[in-house]
Order: sequence, then C-alpha cells, then structure tokens
Amino acid sequence: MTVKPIRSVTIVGGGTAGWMTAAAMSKIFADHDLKIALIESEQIGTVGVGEATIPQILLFNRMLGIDENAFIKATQATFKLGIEFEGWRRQGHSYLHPFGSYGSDMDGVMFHHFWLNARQRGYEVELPEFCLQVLAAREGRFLRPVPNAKNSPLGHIAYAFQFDAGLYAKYLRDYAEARGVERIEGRVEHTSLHPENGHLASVSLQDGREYSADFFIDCSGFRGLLIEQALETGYEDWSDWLPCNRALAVPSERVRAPDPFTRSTARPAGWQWHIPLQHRTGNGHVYCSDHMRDDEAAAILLDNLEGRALRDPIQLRFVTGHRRKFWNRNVLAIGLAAGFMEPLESTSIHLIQSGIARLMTLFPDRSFNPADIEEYNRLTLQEYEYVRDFLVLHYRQTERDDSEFWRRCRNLPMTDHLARKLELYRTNGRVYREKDELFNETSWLAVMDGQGVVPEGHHPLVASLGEMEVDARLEQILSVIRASADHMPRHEEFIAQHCAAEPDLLSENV
Amino acid sequence: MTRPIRRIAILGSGLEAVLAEFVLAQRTGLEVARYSESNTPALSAAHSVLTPQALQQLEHAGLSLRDLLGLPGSLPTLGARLSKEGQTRCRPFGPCGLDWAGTGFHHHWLRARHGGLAVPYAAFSPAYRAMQENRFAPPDRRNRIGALQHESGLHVHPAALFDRLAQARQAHPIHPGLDVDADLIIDAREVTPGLERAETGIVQPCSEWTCEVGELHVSIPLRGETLEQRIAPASPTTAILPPWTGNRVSIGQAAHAGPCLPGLAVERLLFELDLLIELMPDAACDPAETLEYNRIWIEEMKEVDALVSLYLDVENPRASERLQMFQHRGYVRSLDTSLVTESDWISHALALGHIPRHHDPLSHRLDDSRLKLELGQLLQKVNTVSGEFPPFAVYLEAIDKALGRAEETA
Repeated sequence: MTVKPIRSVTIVGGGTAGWMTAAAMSKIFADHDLKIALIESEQIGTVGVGEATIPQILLFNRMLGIDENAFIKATQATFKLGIEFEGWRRQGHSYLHPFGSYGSDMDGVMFHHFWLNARQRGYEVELPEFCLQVLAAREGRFLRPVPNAKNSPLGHIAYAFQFDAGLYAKYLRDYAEARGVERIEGRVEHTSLHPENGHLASVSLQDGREYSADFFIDCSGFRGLLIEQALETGYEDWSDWLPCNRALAVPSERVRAPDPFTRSTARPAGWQWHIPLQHRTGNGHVYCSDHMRDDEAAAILLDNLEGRALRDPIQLRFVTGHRRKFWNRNVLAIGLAAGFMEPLESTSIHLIQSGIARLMTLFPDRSFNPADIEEYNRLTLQEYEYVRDFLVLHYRQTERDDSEFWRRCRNLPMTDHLARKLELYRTNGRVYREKDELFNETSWLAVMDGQGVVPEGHHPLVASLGEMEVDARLEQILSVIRASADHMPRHEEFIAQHCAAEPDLLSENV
Repeated sequence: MTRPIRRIAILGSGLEAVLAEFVLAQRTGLEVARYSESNTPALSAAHSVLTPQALQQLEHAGLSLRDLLGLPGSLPTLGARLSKEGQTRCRPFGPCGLDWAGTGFHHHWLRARHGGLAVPYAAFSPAYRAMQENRFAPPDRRNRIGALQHESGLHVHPAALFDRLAQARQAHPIHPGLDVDADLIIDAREVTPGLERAETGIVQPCSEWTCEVGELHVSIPLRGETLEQRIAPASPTTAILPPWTGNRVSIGQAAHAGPCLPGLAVERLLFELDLLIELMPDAACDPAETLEYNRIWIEEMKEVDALVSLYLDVENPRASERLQMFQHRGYVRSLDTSLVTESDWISHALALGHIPRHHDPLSHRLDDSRLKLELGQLLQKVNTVSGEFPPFAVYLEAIDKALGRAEETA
C-alpha cells in the first residue's frame, strides 16, 4: 500500500482567501513534511469585500487557536448579531435576520408554530420580539454567551464579526509566516502544464522565477489565473437567478457608535451595505447594470453615507456563478477564483472557510483520485446552490414594484428546492434545513417572515395545548427574552472593556 | 384557518400497528384508534432487536428502559457478531475509538493497520471484549473513556412487547363494508409475519449474524429462547413507492416490504412516526406536507436498501458507489438520511471485511510514534474498562433483583 503524500502546495494570490488557506494549512500540517508557499504581488490590490461574517467564522478562528480579543483588536472588528434588511419587502419596512433562534421549542414543536397559532387568533406581538438577538441589535447591545447559563437565552448568544478584511488577511499572513509558510513576492506571468496528464506543472513570475508544486490552490480572485486561464475550466453563469453584476465599495468616517449588525438597504436597482467597524464604516452598492448606470449607482452610494467618504469608490464587475469545476486536476480554486455570489448574507468569507474544510477532509495524495475530486466538486456545488436559493428568496418575495428592477425580481425563476421550501412554509409554517445546508431553520424563517410570506396554518399539534396555555407560554417567553436583553451591556461599552483597537490604528488602514 | 386533525385510524394487527398507536397517542394527544383484521397478532423476529436509538425514542414516547427490561424474555445486547467466509467480526453499537486531531478514528486505525496493527477496529470499543467474554454493563459515566461511550440495546420478545403496548387498548375489528371514520388513515399491516424459534443457546449480550450465499441468517438470543430470522433479497417487484397519498399513509412493512437488518425495522418505524408527527397535516392533508414526507422517506429507504444489499450480494448502484469511495480512502460522503448515517456505512463495511486501501492523509498530523502511543493507551483503557464489566449472568441476576423478579434467571 503506497500513499504518495503531497510534498508541496503553492497558493497563488494573497488576500483573505489566500491567507486563510495558508493559515489553516500551516496549522493542520504543522508536524508534516509539506512545503507551503504563497505567491502574491503588492502591485495587485485585493477586493476586500466580505467584511461581514456569519457565526461559523468562530470555528475557523478557534481551529487556528486565535485569541478572540487579540484578533478583534488587530482587525478593527465589531460584533455582529444579524443582518438588517431595510426596504426589501416594501419601502419603509425593515426586519432583522438574527443569528439566534426565536423563543423556545416546546414538546418537540418549533416555537414559531405556537406564535402562528396565537397570531391567527389575533395576537399582535411580532415574531422578532421573541428573539434576543433582534432586541439586542435594535438597542445596540452585545454580550458573549454567558457560561453556566444553559437555561437562559444569555447562554446561547450566537454572534459573528464585522472586520476589515485587509487587516484580517494581514493578521493571518503573520500567523502563517510564523508557522513556516513561505511568502513569495511577485506577479504570475506564465503557467505550464505537464504534457502527459495536463496537470499544472509550474508558474513563472514576471522576473523569470519559476515555481513548481504537487498541488496548486488558486486564490487569484475573479481572474482565476490557474483554474481558468491555465486550465480553461469554464464558468456557470447564474445571472438569470441573481441579476446584479456590479458593486461599488467605499469606506466612510465613523460618526457614531457601531451597530452590532450589518445593514442591507434596498435601492432602486440593487442594495447598499453598511458595515460598521471600530475605525470606519464599510459601504457598498450592489446593482444591476441592466437597470442603472454606474454614475447613478455611485451617486446613490455617496448620497447615502453616514459619514464622509474616505476615498473614491472602487468598482467591481462580476458575473454571479461558479467555475464548472472548483477542483480541476491538481488545481483547487478558493474564494472569488471559485465563484461569486453577492455578499447579501455575508457568505463570501464563509465559502472560503468551508472550501478549506472540505479540502482538509478530501486532501489528496499525488495520485489525485478522481472520486475525491468529484466529491469535493459535488459538495461545493451543493453548498453554492443552497446559498443561491436563499439569496433568491430575498429578491423574489418582495412586494416592491416601484422600479423595473424590482418588478423583474418578483418574477425571478425558482429552483425546485426553493419552491418546495416556500410551499411547505406557506401551508403550515414548516421550515426544513437540508443536511449540510448553511442557513438553518431560523434563517429561513426570519427571511420568509420578514419578506411577508404568511403561512395559512401551523403545526396541528399546537392546538392540543389549548389557547390559554399557548398564550401564557408566549407571555412568559417574551418576559424572559426582554429581561435577558436588559441584562446586556451596550455594544461599544463591551468593545471598550474587552477588545478596543489601539487608537493609533484608527487612522490607518483606510 | 384550516381544521386540525382530530382522529387517526391505524390499520393492522401486528407489532407495527400497535407501536404506531402507542407512539402517536402518547406524543400527539390526538384520538388514535386501531382497526385489526385478526385477533392473533402478526409478529416477526425483525422487531425483536431494539437499537440504542430505538430505546431512546421509545423512552421519549413514554416507554422506559425499565419497562422494557421487565418484559418476559428481554435481554440486553451490545451489538452483533458477524460471520462471513470463515471470519468472525464484531459490530458493537456505538462508536469505536476516538477522533484525534480532527480526523475520524477509523482513518488512524487504517493507517496503523497498514503499518501492521493486528487489532480489529471494533476492539476499540469496550463492548468488543465484553461480547467476547460474555460480560455486560450498561453505558454510564463510570465506564466512559473521554468522549468514548459504548452503547447498549435490547432484545425483546415481539409478543411480550405487543402485549405491553396493547394494554388497555382495544382494537376495532375490520369487517367488509366498514367505513373508517378518521382524518388520517395509517396502514400498518405487516406482510411477512413469522416467528421462527431455535434451540436456546448460550445467553449472550449480542446477536449472531451469518452471511450465507445471498442470504443473512440472524440468531437473536432472548432469555429462555432464541429467535431466528432469515433475510433474503426482495423480489424484483418490491419497489420503493411514495407511501402517502391523500389522507392515507403506509408505514413499516406496509410501506416497503424490502429486507431490513435487525434493529433497523423498529428504528425505521419510529423514524416514520417521528416524521409523520413533524409533518402532521391538518384535516385537509395538504399536498405540500405529503410531498415532503414522500421525498424524505424515499431517500431514507433507498439508503436502507443500499446498506442491506451489502449483506445479500445483490446489485445496488448506490451501495457500489459508497463502497468504492470507502475502499479507496475510507471516506463516506455526507448523507442526508438519518436512518443510515456515514458512521453506519463505516462500521458495516469494516465488519464485512471491506478494508480501504488508503486513509485520510490528515491522520499524519499525528506522527507515527505518537499514533502508536495513542492507540496503545486507548486500547489499554478500553480493555481495563471492559474487564470491569460483570459477567452477563451476574448482571442479569442484579437486574432481576432490581425488578423484583427472582424466578426468571439466565
């Protein structure tokens, strides 16, 4: 039995994807005879989109053994309890997609069925009032989960971060270099393939230096230097489902205490993000060029900043979709080189993270077993499809008809998966999460409820509890959630006490 | 607003019907009536193995382990001993070994095996040695080794379980022209009843599975007798068809009469009931819930059939795909099913002697000497723990005493 272990891995491209991959591999292969190199050029800027994350990022940081407060200080991070969607259902309406759950399940039945039962009898309290994260976000509060409070909502506070992706990459670069990753400064100019098997043999830099490796990881961004330009893998276009194809990004001055949530505000031909960090605010406008000119989009973005813009907006052009193969021969694409979906639900960094995790599970040897590669591609495609369907839900379930773009969104095509989810919810409020699906029942519930999808019924077993009992339980849960929220400190106070960035950093990294 | 379901009718005279009646009545609080075509219960040895998962679900429905232990013939079990082509291997319930450095234990074991380790995979569960030496202890924190906790199930006599469940529940007779008044009708009529008894052998805490040509022969020891079951391939006409149409849903054998491994028959029925409760429709039985039930159920049955095919030498593309990938590098793709999980495929495949050619390269995050040390220390702890299990007969006596049942002994 001969296993031919991979001896060398070359990552092409720095940025968040490249350095997350390098950091993870340097940790996991710490005692292993594996040479890891990363080629990046200071001349090429990084996209740096994806400053907002979802709670799974905590697992990645824990795997690396990163001290959370040190990481927050180094990346100017703030805490995040969810995403607010403003104007998505209709103008003037907003809701929060929280990271925590609603109420408390009873007798094996999800909480919202009890709420639906009461609601259908005239109960007026809205579902979000039963979520600690919603209350805390609205009031600008934050607290990490309290140990030994297993029976309290305070013991289960799920959270993520909003951070400066450039600083995060820098932080991980230090981490990876300290563990032996070799950073090579240079710009990849040429690639050469093995004549026999078509695998990538080496990459050459502008100055003529040539680097070969057993395995290459393409983190070169949209261009896909290796996966596309060298291997011509092909791209699957998902514009029919998600038509936005441009983004403008600009940082602005911080003018008030940072919110513990990311805001997404619907605009006439797309939406605008607002990500408050400790030292500045990240802003961007995602739009569809079929319905809006670039100068109009820039004007909307700049007119809707809370503080002064700190530089001119930079534009990104993208086609939503993915490479036909995420892993092709001995090249694996991670991050934007693998595919792109707008950061409406802060999934960019997560897709990098899950790609790394899958790679670790299916890490090859030099025989590059086709079954492993096929499995990686199958699982990654499935994850992309689930995320895409969740994003489509936000657009398709709008009540807006005030622009051509939103009228188009109301008629976006739906996959069978999404149609089934919607039908189940509409009928009796059922919410299901497929195994390996990123967004859980609470996420689907939050967005379906927020977008105005109203179930006709609810789980029939709720009725067996009796109306008075249901009402009494709802009131009790409401008071516990309210008291828990009151117990949480202000977000900025929590940061100041535990993880405030150094003041001298506040003027840098714009 | 639609009208909730008020009355459920269950058709069937066997254990599956009475179990469905019990669970639904206990967990839903709805009116549940059973209609039986016969006064003699239709019983099958397939329902005599209760896995740890089944015991947990029964407990949730209000049938405690103590209740079940008190039934005549009940015998605790730690898993199965499997004979194939002259080799005997164990498949204990619960996990074997401990995952280290983020990599599944079986990969570390495979690596060591490729390096010459002769100890079987199952030996890294305390249940293995206990099965060899006829000892038993229920899982509890005193015999836990870090995150490694063995599990136990129960062999029950189907007739005793039937009587316990049917207590104070009178079935209505079915007669021609009967108009069943119910919002939801559950068909739980078993198609292959039959109890085959064998000579009483040694009372031991495991069942015996023997793979013969195209057939699996199972001996399930009880106290006082042994039940036999022969599991053969399904007839080619046994298709997996959607079990729920309108207000009528089939469960258990009435839904799919394909062969089922011991333990899986009850687990499957409990899964179906759980899914039914989760997707309980209103009285209009909306197609959305029906479709979802059918979709999930079909996927589960296909996975069950694929796993069963490993034992019966029948062609199954799904099983071939799983096995091919497993044999290459010990990996089983992530599954959407709950009746058959990734770890089930691993334990069944290894028990049947399918040894992967490669292991996960990430196992090398433990260097060779560290791996050897960890495996050695774990094995020592496992053997120490299982060595402290009392002899099975002693354990049974203690149980009898605790239940106040002196007359029945092993």
